[in-house]
Amino acid sequence: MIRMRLNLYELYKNKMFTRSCIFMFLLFTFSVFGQNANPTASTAIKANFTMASVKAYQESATLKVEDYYHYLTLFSAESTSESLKNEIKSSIFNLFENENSTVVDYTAEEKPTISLKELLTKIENKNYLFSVSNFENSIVANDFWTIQYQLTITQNEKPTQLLLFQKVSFKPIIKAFGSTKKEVWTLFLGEVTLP
Amino acid sequence: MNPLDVFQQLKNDVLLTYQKQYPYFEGNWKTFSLQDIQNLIDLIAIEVKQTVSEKWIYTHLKVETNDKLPRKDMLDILSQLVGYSGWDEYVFKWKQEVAPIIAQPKRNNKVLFSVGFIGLFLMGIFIYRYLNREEVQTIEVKNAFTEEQINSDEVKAVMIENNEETPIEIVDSKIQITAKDSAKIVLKSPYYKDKTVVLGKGNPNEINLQPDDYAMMLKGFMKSDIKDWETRKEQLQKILADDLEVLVMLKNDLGIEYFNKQEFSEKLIVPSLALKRMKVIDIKSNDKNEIKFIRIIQE
Repeated sequence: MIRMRLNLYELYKNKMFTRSCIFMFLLFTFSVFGQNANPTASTAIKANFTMASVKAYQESATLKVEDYYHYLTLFSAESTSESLKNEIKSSIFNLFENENSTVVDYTAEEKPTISLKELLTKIENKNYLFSVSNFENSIVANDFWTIQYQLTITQNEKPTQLLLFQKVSFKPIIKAFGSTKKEVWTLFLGEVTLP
Repeated sequence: MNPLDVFQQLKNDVLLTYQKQYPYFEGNWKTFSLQDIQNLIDLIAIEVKQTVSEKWIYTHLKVETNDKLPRKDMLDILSQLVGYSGWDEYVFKWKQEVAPIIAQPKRNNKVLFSVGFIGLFLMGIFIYRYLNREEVQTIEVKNAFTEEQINSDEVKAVMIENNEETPIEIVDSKIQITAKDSAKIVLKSPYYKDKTVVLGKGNPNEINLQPDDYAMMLKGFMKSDIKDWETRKEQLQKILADDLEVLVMLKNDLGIEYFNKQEFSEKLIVPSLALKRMKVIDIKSNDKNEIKFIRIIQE
């Protein structure tokens, strides 16, 4: 009788354990999938900044585009030393989220898209002058927006104009300040495309 | 006023009466001639039906001042000549008419006294305010080493008085203060070491700020062109702390961008266009005097 009671008790215990396992599994599954349902909600630009703030960051992004083309001009100059070119290259890559971002090949007739690294190789020592104007920002997506601008490329005093779009990412990243690390919202330049 | 004064007034009235009868007479008792005396004697005889001797007129009327009052009956005659019943009435009328006039200066004295008192009171206030006036002083802000004026944009000044901070405007590298004891001026600049000046009676004409070497180097680098980028790179490595944090405040303080040592150095090594629109407003250093924090406004 006592043995039978123990068996029943063990059965009850096992049942409770199984139920607990199922509950924990479901809880874990829902929580994980629940987060995945809207993974970028906490990093969405609109959820974190007012429109006035976004405009201020958009204005700052246009300065980065200007810096990008200023660096391209310096990099393209024949007079720029190799060591300085390495510095410039580093500065250009730091403006972009990814060194392999695609950009428009300004040197080719058909203006295909190539990687940033390839572009640098193609313009090196070619004395291209780049200047940008007429910036316009698109509406803001989850973590980026697009800047439209007019690019003037001059070589041998022959200017060519192009209307271009460039993606600007704005997202929180973990940045190192010496040994200290902080999450800070950062602007990055992205792919350049034709309309 | 004594009776002699009243008698002097009576003598004047006698002259006026005489002038009414003899309008061509324009003199006074001093110029009163023998003929005039004769005429007056005749006039008294006609008008008052009394006799006055030539000698009496000489003795009492023609003299400039009288030491004693003439006899009462003579005073009555002269008083009757000028239209009164006698000396008593003359004195009485005089007290009624002349005394208030004489008394008036007393009232005027009161007014004068009041005016004088107010004047003195106002003067007292003026002197008090003059002695306790808040003297405006102009103090020049200079670089302690070069003795050149410091750009007004690079310094901020506050006056601390009773634990209250009041910003002081710096115009043409000068500050204007109203000197008050126990007040302090604190000058802060990203490129110079902070300085506190305690105000007193003998305030300086200039305040010299000691430049912060590394901050000054950074200032120079921010204005540099591409030249000497290698030297700049080396020096930046030295003056910037490894844990440097650079905050770039966006327009109207609507956002902040953060840069670490590598990112900020790159902007200075190859001067970017964005750099030309940056204005340093605060610099902090660590124990080794390396710059560990920079706050910038993006204009």
